[in-house]
Amino acid sequence: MKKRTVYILMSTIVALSVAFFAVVYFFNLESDIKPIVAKVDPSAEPVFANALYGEFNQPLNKPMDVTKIGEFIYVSDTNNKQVQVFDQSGTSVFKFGTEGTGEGQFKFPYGIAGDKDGNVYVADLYNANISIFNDKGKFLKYFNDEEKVLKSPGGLRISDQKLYVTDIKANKIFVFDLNGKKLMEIGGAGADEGKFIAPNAVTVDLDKNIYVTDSGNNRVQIFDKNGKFIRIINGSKDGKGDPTFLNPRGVAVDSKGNVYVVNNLAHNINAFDKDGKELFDLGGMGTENGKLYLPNGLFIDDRDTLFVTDTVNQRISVYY
Amino acid sequence: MSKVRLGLSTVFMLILLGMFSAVAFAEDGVPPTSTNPAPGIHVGDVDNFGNKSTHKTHGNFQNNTNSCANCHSTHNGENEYLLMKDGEYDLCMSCHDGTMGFYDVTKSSGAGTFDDSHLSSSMHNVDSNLKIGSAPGAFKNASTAVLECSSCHNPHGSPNDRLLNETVAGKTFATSLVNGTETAAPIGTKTIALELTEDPAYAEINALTGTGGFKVYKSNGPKGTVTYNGVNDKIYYSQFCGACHDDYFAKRNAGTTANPKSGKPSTGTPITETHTHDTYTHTTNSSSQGRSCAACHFAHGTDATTMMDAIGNTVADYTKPVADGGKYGWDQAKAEAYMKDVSAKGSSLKKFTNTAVCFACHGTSIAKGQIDPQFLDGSGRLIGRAKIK
Repeated sequence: MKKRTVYILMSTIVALSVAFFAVVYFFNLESDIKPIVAKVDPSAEPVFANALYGEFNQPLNKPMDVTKIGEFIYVSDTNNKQVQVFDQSGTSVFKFGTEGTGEGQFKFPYGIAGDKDGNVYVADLYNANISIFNDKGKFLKYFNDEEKVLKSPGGLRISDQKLYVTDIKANKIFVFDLNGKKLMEIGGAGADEGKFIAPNAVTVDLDKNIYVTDSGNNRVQIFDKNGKFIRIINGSKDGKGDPTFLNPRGVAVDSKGNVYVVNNLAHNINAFDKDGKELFDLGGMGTENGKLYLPNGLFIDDRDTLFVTDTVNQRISVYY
Repeated sequence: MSKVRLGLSTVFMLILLGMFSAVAFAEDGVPPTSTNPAPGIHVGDVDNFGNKSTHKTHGNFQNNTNSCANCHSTHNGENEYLLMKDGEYDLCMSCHDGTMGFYDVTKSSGAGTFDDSHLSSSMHNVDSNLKIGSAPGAFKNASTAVLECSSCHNPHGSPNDRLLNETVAGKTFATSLVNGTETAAPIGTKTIALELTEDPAYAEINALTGTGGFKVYKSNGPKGTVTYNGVNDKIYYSQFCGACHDDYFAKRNAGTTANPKSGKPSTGTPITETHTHDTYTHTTNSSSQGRSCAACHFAHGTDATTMMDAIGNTVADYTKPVADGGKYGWDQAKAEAYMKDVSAKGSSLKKFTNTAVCFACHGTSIAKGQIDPQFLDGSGRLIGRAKIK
């Protein structure tokens, strides 16, 4: 065969291959499953990765909050009055808790968090207590709220050996050391700065600033580590205009200081940079992958993976 | 020749690079926000008169309202009302489950409870695909609609207290005599008034200004006042229940020959379309004590921890430790066993356990002199009678 013919044949093959893959690429004919490497670009917004559904025979029922302790994901499976535990692949590994008011029992398990020993703290909104379990789900004790201030604990996070908890009826957030000594309280009912109506979630960033979702006032308030009010995020440009939140719930901060807020009645998650400028939204109402339906609890792990409880879809959606 | 070849492959490479980098630098495929009501939603904070005020979620809408989008999706609704209909119960319960602090329907209130976790619970099962036409006592009511929160409450606001609907099962329930004919009250008329008082548990919130007058109230059932056209709200309340439970809305002697009434002929007549039954019912259409639906029943539901006995005590009264001033100091299991409703048909959303309400009213006239005086009040009646509406 002539050299020239070989070249022509070869380049034709190359051209055809390129054309084929270009068509696949430009017409979006490729597989829908996005590889996790999408996350390699740290400036990109998180993408939906997978969902945790729980056991087929006993799916999650109104999961209200989620946290990661060690390598496992702990979910307050509120209407089932239990905590369901998943491994990273989404397999339900075990669950603990039954309905009731006694030790190891729940009426409305809500905020959930782990300490550095892997113990699991679960706030119960109706039983008005915080139960402590070991990482296998064995009841150890109740959190010793020395001054008996907790009336209706909701959101719960542990950071730097301190326990942060919102009290929905008291319209306050409390900070305790892990022995139960009250270190600080912020709030009281009201719409002014530093006041709350039904605070549902709390989180702490790397600078120890405290973020509180003030659900009744449709805003997130940020305080410094001494409880001094810093500013408001409510979706408006500088936090001073009309709120765009509708019943905000879970709040979390990633390693870059971006703030994520679950906008429950709008069925999405709004992301803001550390100055409160809106970056992007995740979710939107629906039942498909990546959509949310009355989402509530939010947790971001140290690898910036987002876990959000998707109450009506009965799952935890994971975004990388 | 080799020079040309190099040029070709370079050009080729550049084309490839151009093609793929164009895509890579283009806007990422962000999901369209048209399914996402959030970005356009603004909850305003200035009212019709320029005053600072929060928009209300239910009713009293401002002229600049944006509350619609709380529940409706303009272009992506799940039914013809653009509503997330399948999720109605979940939608309501995303706030009324206690996570807003107030108006938690799983807690015992003037309407009873939606908590089904206790002994002897019964309720209007709003999350169960129950047909409205299957209501006990439904004779004319043949509604095939599903019982939902909105079967009784209007989230858009209502002249009635507690957002109670003006139309139930498709008709205006409130009627009164106008020139001798039962006539429906005009839409927009308050017929059901409830005995509402500011809930002291929320004094802090109730004292706030700038919330558009928002107050947290607790209810103690119908108020017992004339609301419209000379008719007592207790009667309108019973008409409200009677919209579905139509056969139970009657006077005790409605079916007797002495008091013939159309639809309730005397015994022995053949069953016709307007003939309901030949039995008698406890009076439910009067405003006198104990003679309206709300005298004996809750609207939401009941359970052993919500019901009272004939002396008006609840489980909480029996379990209160003696050290804290309790009279009995029973344990929970004992108190619940005592308050358990053993009726064959269940607890039927009752305010009093079993038939204790009958005893509370009629006990002293039937069991004359046999009741331990410690259970009687100053007028010689059972103590619990005073709690009957």
